Amino acid sequence: MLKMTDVSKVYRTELVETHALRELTLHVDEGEFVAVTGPSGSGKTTFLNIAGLLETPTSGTYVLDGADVSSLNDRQRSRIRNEKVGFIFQSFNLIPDLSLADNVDVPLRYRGWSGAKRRKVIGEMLDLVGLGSRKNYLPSQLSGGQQQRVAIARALAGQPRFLLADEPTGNLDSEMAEQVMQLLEGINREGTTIVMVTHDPDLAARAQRNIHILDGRASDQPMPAAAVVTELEARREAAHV
Amino acid sequence: MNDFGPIFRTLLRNKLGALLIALQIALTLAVVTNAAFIISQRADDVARPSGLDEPNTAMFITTLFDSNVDQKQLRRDDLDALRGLPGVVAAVPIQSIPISGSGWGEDYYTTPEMTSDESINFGMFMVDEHGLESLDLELLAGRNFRPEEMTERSLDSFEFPRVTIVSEALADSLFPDGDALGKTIYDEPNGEKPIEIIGIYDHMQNAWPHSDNVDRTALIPAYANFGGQMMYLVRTEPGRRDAVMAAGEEYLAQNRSRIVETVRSYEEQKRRTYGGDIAMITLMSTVIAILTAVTGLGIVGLAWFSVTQRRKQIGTRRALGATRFDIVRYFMVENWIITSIGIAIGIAGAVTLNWFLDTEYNTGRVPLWYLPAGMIALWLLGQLAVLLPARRAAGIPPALATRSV
Amino acid sequence: MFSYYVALALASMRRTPVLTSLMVLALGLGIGAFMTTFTVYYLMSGDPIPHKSGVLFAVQLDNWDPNSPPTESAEDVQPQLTWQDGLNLMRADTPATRQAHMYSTGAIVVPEGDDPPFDENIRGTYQTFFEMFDVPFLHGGPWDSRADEERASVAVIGRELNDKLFGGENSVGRSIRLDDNFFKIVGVIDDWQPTPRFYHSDWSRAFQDTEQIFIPMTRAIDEPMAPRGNTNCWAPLDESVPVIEAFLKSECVWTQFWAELETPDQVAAYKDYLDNYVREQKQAGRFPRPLNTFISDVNEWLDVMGVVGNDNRVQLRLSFLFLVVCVLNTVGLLLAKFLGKSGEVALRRAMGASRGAIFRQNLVEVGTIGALGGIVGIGLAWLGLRGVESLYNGYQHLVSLDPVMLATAVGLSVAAAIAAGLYPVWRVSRLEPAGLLKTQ
Repeated sequence: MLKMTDVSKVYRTELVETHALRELTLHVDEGEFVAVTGPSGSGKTTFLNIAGLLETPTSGTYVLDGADVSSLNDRQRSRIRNEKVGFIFQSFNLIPDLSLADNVDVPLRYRGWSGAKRRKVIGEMLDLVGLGSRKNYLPSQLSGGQQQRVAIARALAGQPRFLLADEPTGNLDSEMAEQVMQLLEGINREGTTIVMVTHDPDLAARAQRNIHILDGRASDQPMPAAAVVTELEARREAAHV
Repeated sequence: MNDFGPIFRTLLRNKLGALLIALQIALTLAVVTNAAFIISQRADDVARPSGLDEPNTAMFITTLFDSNVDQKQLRRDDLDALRGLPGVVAAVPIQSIPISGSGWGEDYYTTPEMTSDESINFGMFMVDEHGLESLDLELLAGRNFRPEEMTERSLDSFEFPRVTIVSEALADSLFPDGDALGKTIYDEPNGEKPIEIIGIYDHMQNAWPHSDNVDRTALIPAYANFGGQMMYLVRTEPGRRDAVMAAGEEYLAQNRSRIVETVRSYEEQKRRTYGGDIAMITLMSTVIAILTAVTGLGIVGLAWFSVTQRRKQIGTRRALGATRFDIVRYFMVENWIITSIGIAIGIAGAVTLNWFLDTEYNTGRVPLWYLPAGMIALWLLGQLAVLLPARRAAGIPPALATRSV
Repeated sequence: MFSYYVALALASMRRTPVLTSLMVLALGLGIGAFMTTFTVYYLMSGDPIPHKSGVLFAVQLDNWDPNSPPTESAEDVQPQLTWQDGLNLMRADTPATRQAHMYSTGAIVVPEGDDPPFDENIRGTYQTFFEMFDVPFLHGGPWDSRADEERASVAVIGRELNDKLFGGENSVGRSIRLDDNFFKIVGVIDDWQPTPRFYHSDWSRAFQDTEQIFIPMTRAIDEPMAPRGNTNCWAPLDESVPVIEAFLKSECVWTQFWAELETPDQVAAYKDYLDNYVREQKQAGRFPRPLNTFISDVNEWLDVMGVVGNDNRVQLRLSFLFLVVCVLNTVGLLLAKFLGKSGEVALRRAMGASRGAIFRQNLVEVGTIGALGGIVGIGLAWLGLRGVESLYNGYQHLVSLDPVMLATAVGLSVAAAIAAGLYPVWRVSRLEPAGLLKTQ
């Protein structure tokens, strides 16, 4: 569903040329839960931006849902972002002056849906993340975990083709982080594709597949060898019990 | 794609910035409406025709200080000379000039029984038979003065004219039912000093531009001999006025027993007399210009600041699918709401201010159509002012949303 | 601590030059506009003779037309007196300390030598005028009361005229030719410009230059020198006598009358005297209206005459509203400035500054901005006053910024700035340092 081929991104200033991505090639299939990992400075954020059509590649091809989206203009990219990508940010990025309902509403407003349809979807999404009764709260009145759940509701509201999550639990304590991860896993089981960027190997382990980015390149690997061993051992244990 | 609800709710939570702009808009509307009204009133006043051939008229004022000189002869010589100058259409001795601020007010009585509080007040002008032509007055009915009807008014005699030519406005005030021509009126109560109305001219203003009876004027056939002052009004052919002024001054200055106090075009005199009104127009215009600029810049500044404060938000919206145009639209709508609130307050303010100014200082009631005009102007001002910050906001890259700073 | 805060303020202002300039400019504009109209208003309505304004009184007698509408207050009564009434009062033994009868006239001054003649305004009055109005003399002094009685051809001239005719020398004893006659100069007065010239009943001339020539009124009437200014008549002249005589004994008003009354008792006594005078005159057939005398001290007289025009008041009100808009503008700018400083504030709080200290520091900064705004405002007001002077003929004495006005400008600006800044400064002092210290 999402396929990048030889994608490069070069940032040029007067003094310095930075190659954030070098001929990155990877793919994500429909229904997958993929974790994109790598140390800081590896190009994860650049990958995220390009995947979410926030930036355009300097060279290479990005095909999303069958269409080549590598060199669209800003207006076209905005449209696709709105319709096909569901963003979940590390710092939630809820708009502080809007109620939860209005926050979930934001991407829907750019669709041209009727007021009734929007309200219905907002209600469903907030119920889905367990915050339906707090529609009119302000983000500042919620905990970090709750805010991220609202963000997830917002991301899902527009029925995107995939969720693009940037360190979704980075700003949460372990209990809230667990809640959010379980929510994501549940959504994925329902069929939503999830691409999660993270530097946390434990988080990455919960995904079905990891893509490791280093120095701007991807190694489209199946699960790491160590993890395979652990898995096999776990299955053997289970078989024995 | 109507963001109205959320934008409005956001404003409710961020009242201060919005309120500051709204109040500025309100005050601007109130002040500009009233200032514009004052301008239009004064401009109307100044534009009223005096009745004279304004571009081609000039005045000469001289003062004789040698009491041995025969003033009457001197006047005859002056008039001959002035009338003989090339380019002169007509010249007349006169003791007061319309819209000059200085003149002679008199009362006419239509019956001997009329009391002084019922008499009709008007501006009186002493001229000879060249008066009508010099003042460019059109006789609607009746005739001009004859030379034998001239009288001498001075500190030596009570000589009094028997005839008068009046303006149409004065004729209507004296005889509202019409046909003032030929009627006898009185300059004093109890039937004293009868005068016959021998002519009616179209229009001439008196010396005081802001008087209630500014259109009520009359001419009497008299030479004024008071204290050495000799005033002449001259009408010239088009384009000859300045030359005539120079030549006239040269001639008059030759006589060393008098001083030539003033040689001035009528247009200049009018400008001076209306000086206060013209000044008010200038001041009000300045107020409007600067106030609009300050409010506009205030909007630009506050909106710019607001954009800076909301960078992350704007980036997020873009990430969620807003186009650049959507962002611009967001700020335009937000500004429109604030401006509208300001306008709503401002309308009340404009009406209140106008009521106050009218009650205290008699400025007059502003006509209602000023308000919609002002509203549109301010909406435009607000939208134009927010355009720059809005476009800057639109330039915020969506990638900002993913930055962790 | 205060000077430390001022130093901090200046440094902080330098760091955000654009924002600071905008604030100073916004305040300066508002102050400049307001001070322009306020200066004119202040000079127009100021007490023209503060040390004597309570003891000098203008006299009004209602000798007017019985058919005119009834009068309730001094504004409805003619501001001038007939020649007869003024003369009678001057000759009588009244409770006043001093009285001065006067009128406005003029003549052509014919200099010695070849210089061209020119017109000058003249005040015809009595020798009491100079002491009553505290007119300063450079040379010589007023004529004595004998000159008034004998209608002597004497004159007191002003410094400007003295400079023009005599090169500034002591001209006492020399002659000045007015129209056909020579007058002996007995005194030269220094520059004297009461603002407004409250004794002149023609308000269109109240702000023009003081007359440069004073002569005995008795001598002027003798000539006769015709009055300049307003002459109002309601009754026809007596035609059985020559015109001049008829005019002098008529009910026409064209003279002004002032009395010096130093104590409240004296004021009451004088008022009674005037009432009795009018009653007497009524018996002779004059004063057909009900008894209606008024005496007003200088400041009351300014109100009666309506010195400050409606236009001036409208300008004052509108310029004040303009100042309010500028202050609102400044509030926004201050909010922007202080909220942008939240990092620094958090740092200071972490290092031990109390909320009060932050508040004070920022308030000093606001006050400094206000002071700068006041200075800019003074400059703009000066420009504005030059503009007003060129627009209005005859405002030359109403457009100067004296120390009181300068202090008002700066004080008003600081006050406005503090008013504008109170909320932003308070907001910032309440910020909790904890949330602001880490980079977000």
